[in-house]
Amino acid sequence: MDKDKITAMWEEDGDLMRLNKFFGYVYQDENLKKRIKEKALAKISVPTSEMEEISQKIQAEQDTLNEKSEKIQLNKLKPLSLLKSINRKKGKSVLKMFSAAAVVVFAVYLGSILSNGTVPFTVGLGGSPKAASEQARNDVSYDTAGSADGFMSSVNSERSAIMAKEEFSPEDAPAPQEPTTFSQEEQGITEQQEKGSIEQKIIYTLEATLRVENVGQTVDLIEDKITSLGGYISESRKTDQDTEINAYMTVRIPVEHFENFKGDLSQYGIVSNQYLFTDDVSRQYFDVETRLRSWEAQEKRYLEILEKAATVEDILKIEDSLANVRREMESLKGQLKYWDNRVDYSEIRMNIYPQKSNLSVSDPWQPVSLESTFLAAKNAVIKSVSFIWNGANYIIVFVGYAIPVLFLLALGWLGYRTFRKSKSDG
Amino acid sequence: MKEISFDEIYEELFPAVYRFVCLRIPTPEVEDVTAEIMAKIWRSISSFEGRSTLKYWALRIAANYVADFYRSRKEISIIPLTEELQNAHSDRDYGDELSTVLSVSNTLAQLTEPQVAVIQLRLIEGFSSSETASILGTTQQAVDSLLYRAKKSFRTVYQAEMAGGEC
Repeated sequence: MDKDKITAMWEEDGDLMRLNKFFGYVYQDENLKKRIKEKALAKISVPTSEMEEISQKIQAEQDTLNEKSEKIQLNKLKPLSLLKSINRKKGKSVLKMFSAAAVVVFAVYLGSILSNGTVPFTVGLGGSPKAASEQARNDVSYDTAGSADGFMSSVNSERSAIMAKEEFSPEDAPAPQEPTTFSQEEQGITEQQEKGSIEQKIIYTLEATLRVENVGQTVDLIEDKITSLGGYISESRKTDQDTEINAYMTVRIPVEHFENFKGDLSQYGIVSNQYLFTDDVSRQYFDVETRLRSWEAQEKRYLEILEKAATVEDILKIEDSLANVRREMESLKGQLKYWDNRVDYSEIRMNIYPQKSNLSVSDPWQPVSLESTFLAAKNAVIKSVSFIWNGANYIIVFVGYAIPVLFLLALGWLGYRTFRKSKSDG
Repeated sequence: MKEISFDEIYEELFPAVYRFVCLRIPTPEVEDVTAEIMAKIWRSISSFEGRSTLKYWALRIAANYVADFYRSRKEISIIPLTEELQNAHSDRDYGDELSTVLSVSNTLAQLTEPQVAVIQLRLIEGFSSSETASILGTTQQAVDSLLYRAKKSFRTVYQAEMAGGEC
């Protein structure tokens, strides 16, 4: 099998071992792992957007600080001196880690007091990553005696708990399997937006592997279906080698048809793998929209000031600020447009393979269905015909090469003969 | 389906996800991006149907996220792979395998990004050709030929590295 051949190639001259060594070193830091884990937990429990901003700012500052102090230009140093400097830095970096953590905790504490003025909130926040994992642990028992249903419902309840924190209106119960209801809800929600609930923006992506009888035909069928549903093909690749045809397609269809199309996939063939990804960008979308609105307000104010401006200097200053504001707005609008496109058009990626029962001539003869036998026979005939035809072509070409040479040879031989003759005559 | 806690998911998937992310995302953001991906994985765990390995499914999410990351950024700053790899290494304990690690690092930096991706996914993470193809959004044949070409290039460049090397 090709897989083993190629992997064996890598093993032969030790390159695989070298690669493994390299990748083994890519991650070694336990502290890093813990840090990231905490961040991930924090994201899961969804802190308020204020705290997010603060902690993001802190992290950004942290990272630039860490980067500056720990960067070593490997290109310029020789390995020996590099080792020396690495050993020296080891002790320092541990200290740095501690002080960094202390600073973060302190800043978070300070920030929460400043913004909320209540201590219980800090306690809640400081504990929230832990609380979230505690909750996860409680909801999902380690006991293997628990049923799969228990797991699902606990995850869902955690989800709906999170949803509740974000003040979703009751109709927005999470149900990623039913985008059709959402699109109706979305319209209703836009009106509710004023009241402070967040509009749902969910991106659906599906990935599927199909095993079909006729790859080319299936591709055409799908293309037609997509177009008829008002979607478009984003990418379509077909590889057609003698023994293997496969296709890879990425399509986008309006989100309201997503569910149906997903359900209809089995009509094309066997769906051997299927993955559904949902990406909920509602919060980010809402945040960007809010920012956009504040920039718009800013723009208005600048315009008002511009009216009252007297000196040219003032006018120029204001116009400069205005340009800046507009640039920000453009960038944000672009972001919203991007999300809109991805929300409104779901993406479906398909790998299309032929069903394995396609007999080719190289396969050993097995008792199979008559259809496959006929196909194989057809292939065999085609193969031998083409072989013969190729052979004939080669012969013709060869003859073509040979003719001039033979002609010259013939001339030469004739000449020789006549020369001989004239000699013997004379 | 047996129950899984976040801790278990994290333990199992963190290495592969981190390896994937740190070679593709600028260093200052690697942590946030990895955390975001792990969070996303946890949030979508209920849509995992168990028809493939968890690792494959998780890397799919990671690959999607990384692709989005670059798509929604106006400035496409192409960070040379060397810088990423070197930054990832700046405070590790190498022992006597330093020269190998450095050589491999410099060699990989001279291969194309798709080649490195295929190397990482096929040889290190152990995915099959078709799984790798799905993760990267290409065909199986492309993956196989990439791996083959990568092997040739790796050999050539690595030997040049060793010859030119650290003496």
